[in-house]
Parts: sequence; C-alpha cells; structure tokens
Amino acid sequence: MERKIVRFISERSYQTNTDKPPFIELLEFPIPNFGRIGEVFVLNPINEKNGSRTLHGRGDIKAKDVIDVNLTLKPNSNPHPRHAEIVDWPSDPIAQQQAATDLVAVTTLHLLPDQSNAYP
Amino acid sequence: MTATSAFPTTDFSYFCMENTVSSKNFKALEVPKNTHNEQSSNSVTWTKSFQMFLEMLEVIRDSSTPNWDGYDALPLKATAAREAVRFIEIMPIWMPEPDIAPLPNGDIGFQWHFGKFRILTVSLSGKNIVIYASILGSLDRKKNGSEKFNDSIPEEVLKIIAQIGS
Repeated sequence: MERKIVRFISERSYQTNTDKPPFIELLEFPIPNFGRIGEVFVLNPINEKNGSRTLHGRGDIKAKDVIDVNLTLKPNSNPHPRHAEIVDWPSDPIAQQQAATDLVAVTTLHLLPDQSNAYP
Repeated sequence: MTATSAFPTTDFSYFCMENTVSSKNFKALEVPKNTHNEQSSNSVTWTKSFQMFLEMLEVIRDSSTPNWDGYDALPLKATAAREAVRFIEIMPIWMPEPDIAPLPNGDIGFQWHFGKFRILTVSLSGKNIVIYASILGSLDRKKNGSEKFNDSIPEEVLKIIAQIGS
C-alpha cells in the first residue's frame, strides 16, 4: 500500500518554510478516525495556548514525494504514536524555500466545506 | 476605479509596532510621502489592495504572539510586516493576489498557486531581501533565488508570475 501522510491545517497556509526545521503535523495512513485525531492532537493543543483556531482541512502527501525532494520522514511518537516530522531541511534559506514549495506542489489539499462536520 | 496609485496619504498600510506587530496596538509609522515609484503608480486598484491589506491585518492578528502556531513559532516581525505591506502596495495591477501567510520564523510569505506545478512563493524577512522559489510547470523546472528589495518588485519575480500565471 502506498504510504501517505497528512498534515492538519489550522493556519492560513500549508507552506512551511522556515529557517529552523519546520514542524509538520503528520500521521501515516491508514489510520481510523484521523479527523478526530487532528482535532484532539493538533488543534486542541494549539487552542489551549492560542485561542480559537479552526480546522480548515488537511493536506495529503505521499511519503515517496517527501523523499523525492530530499527530505526525510522521522517518526516521533509525540503527540501521537503515529506522528512523524519532515526533517533534513536544507540550511540555505533559498534551498529550504524551494523544498517547501516542492512539497506544496505534491500536496493534495482537502478543504473542509463545513468545519463543524470535520472529518469522516 | 482606474488603475492609479492605490493609496492616499491616509492609507493604513504602514501600521506596525517597533519590534513585533500586535493587532491590539497599531502605530502608524512615519513614511515619506511621494515614495511611490513608477511601478507603484500602476499598482493594483484600491479595492483589490484593500482586500489584501485586510488579509494582512488578519495575518498580524493571528501571528502577533509567540507560539501562535502551537509549535514555538516566533511572532511576526514588524520589519517583515512592513515590507509585506510595501510589497502589496507596489504590486502591478496585472499581478494576481497572493495568499499571505505568516511563517514560523517571524517572516511573512506570499504564495501564488496557479495549478499543481505552477507555484511561486516569496518570503520577506524585513532585511530588504526577497527570497523566491518556484515551480514552472513540472518538478524538474524550477527557479529560485534572492533579490534586493529596493522599493520595487524584483524583475525575476514579475517574470515568473507572468510565465506561470498566463
């Protein structure tokens, strides 16, 4: 089965370029009730610190696409057992931004039509 | 409205704080009048700019505190916000509106997404440098780099937009 990862989106953009290794909320598929996981493990901790964000949707990326842009998937069991991070970002800011842009290109965005009915 | 200079002297495009921006405490900075160059005289219409400035205000509101993303993001830098506002102000009228997003390191990013492999991202850090990265139709066709931000949109950025946006 093709490995996929998902990033839950609570910010304005799923672009991630930064000069430190970006933290991305990722969970490997297949996993049941991942929408609920997005709310519990991603959205709620943010809202505890920073008010009233909503879940706008999710971005799906194939694990292979991450590797193809010379980045690495690193499992990290916090905050969820199947959480992972994208690491090995280039230190050069231009190369880093290109890698983030490449990820945008291979991400399939699924916006939520109704945020109160978040995920199946 | 015709495509003339978008902002009168009372525009709100220079609202910023000294160190980090805050939606609770805007300050109008002293900005010399008549700094609009040839490019800005052809800038976007007032309505279009107004929408983008509203979006900027949302960005400022959402990212003015440390840890705004829940993952230790730095607050949006006032210098970056100021540059972003200037960038918007001098955008030529033909240039499509970007998505505007704060970045976790305190910078600000613009993104034009014309299709799966027609993407341009621009970031501004408040250091008078524009970093851009793009995909020009397929993953093996990319252009990226950095340019000085001297009160005009870098030529390379305009070329990329014209290329992938057409």
